[in-house]
Amino acid sequence: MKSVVSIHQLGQIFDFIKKDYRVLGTKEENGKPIFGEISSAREILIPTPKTILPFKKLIYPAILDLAKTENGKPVAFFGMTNCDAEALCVFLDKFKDTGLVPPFRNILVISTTCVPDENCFCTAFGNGKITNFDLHITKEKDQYAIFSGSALGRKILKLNRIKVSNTISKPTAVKLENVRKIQLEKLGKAIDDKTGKLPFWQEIADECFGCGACTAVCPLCFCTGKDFENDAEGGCKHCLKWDSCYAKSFSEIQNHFDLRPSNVNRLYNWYHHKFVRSPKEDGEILCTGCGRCIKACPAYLNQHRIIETVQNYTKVIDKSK
Amino acid sequence: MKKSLAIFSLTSCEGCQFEMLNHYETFNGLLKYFEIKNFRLGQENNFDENFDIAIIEGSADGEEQIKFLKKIRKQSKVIVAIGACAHLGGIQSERNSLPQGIFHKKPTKIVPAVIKTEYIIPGCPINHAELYHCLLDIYWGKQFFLPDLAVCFECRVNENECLIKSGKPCLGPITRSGCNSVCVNAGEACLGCRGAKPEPNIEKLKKILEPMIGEKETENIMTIYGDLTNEIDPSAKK
Repeated sequence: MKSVVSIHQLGQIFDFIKKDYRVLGTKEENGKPIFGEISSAREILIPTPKTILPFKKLIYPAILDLAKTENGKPVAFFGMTNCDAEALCVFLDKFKDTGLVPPFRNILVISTTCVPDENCFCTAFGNGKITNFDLHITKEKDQYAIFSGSALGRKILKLNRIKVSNTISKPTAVKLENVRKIQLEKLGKAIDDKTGKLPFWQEIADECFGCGACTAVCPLCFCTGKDFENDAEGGCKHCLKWDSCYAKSFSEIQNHFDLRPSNVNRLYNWYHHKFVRSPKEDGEILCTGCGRCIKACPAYLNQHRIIETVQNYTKVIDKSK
Repeated sequence: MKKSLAIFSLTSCEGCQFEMLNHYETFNGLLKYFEIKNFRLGQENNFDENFDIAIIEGSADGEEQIKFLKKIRKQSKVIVAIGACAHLGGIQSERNSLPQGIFHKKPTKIVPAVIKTEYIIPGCPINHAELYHCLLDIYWGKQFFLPDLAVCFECRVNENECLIKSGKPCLGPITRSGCNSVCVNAGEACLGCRGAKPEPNIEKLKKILEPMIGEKETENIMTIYGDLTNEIDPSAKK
């Protein structure tokens, strides 16, 4: 269902949501788009550019104090791209039994149109269709078109007395040029089958710093390390810290025995977890094709190119510079 | 029971000691656990006796300081070397690469090369929180570990764009994290004061930096705080 509203009405909807929800969204700070608390509708960037860190820094912060309990106000994401909304679903599903993140029913998702850049490859997994939203907002000249995607979304529009046209219309899907579709089953098999492909992974590992930048920015990387920090008062802070599977200490057990002794093992594990282990566990790959990892990588590696080439293994590494 | 603590300084700018004094409120809490027996910069009455923990800053320069270091080793149970000078050699280690006889008698030596060192707190200056946690962990008998990811990880957590990709030479990808990427947060490139992370891919970084700034400058930037490749990680050996 589509309805067209003015900027004034959009502010009205925002204030309505703000009453019941902790509103988080994409805004501009120090010249770069970041996720943060939103206090007025004017701050929200529509269409929404890609942030460096995804939504996970807000609901699952870099240092999560386990002793602190959050106040129960539900969360609304106002202004997030489609790929992030997609990732949010998978993310919350992974953590549904932990009690660490707000439950899915307490989260309102208001997605917005995205600004695709040269690193985006969400259509490769068939994720271009915009489906995971309560409300979806696109900019149309001076006005905004709002699509409702759930009963809750329709209710919000109704309570704000916004006319909803009866014709069924859906937001237009994301279109990316030069992105070929990837068969997930074929990709999973290609990554799982390690025999004969070691030179391929070794070649990438030689180019990789093992710095963990890609895992920091990935919306679906959620591995943590447990940390105990003593303080001078005699207390001890018990917290979860973002960790990375590229860290040596991550796979180390007693007596400094390393289960993944070199960078090639760690690198392989990253792809194996995302495209093989996770689909086996609950049917979802841990990648939405947002391309943040490509932008974050200081070694000029192109993760999209890597999963494309691993299917029909040939010696190709992106050497754009 | 309080443990006795001594803080010594060798050839250095003493900036790491000032970093401790600068965060006086933080370290004041530690006086519940430690009795400072020797701290030339901070107090007047110093004792020459046995210590539980000795914190050493700076690199050993000349016979006299090497003898002094060996004496401290005999006197103390745990040695904590702090700062880039003790860990990598510091700015003064630049002269180690000069031909002998031009400048000074002998090359300057890092602390772990002279005596057995239990812990190293890297950085120029040190991250005061890291030293604070290290001392508390020693007191409670807990093993202290340095983080072993690259600065890039923390840099992205702090939402910085990659400096290398915008054309600035940065040593973040091979440098040990733990500094919360302070330099990049302020817009400056990482110069590797915390030494190399485990298994650094230095070849790759050279491949990126050499077309950018040339071979000589790359060599220069990588040796500002001493030889990064000469990483000695005492916590990994145990």
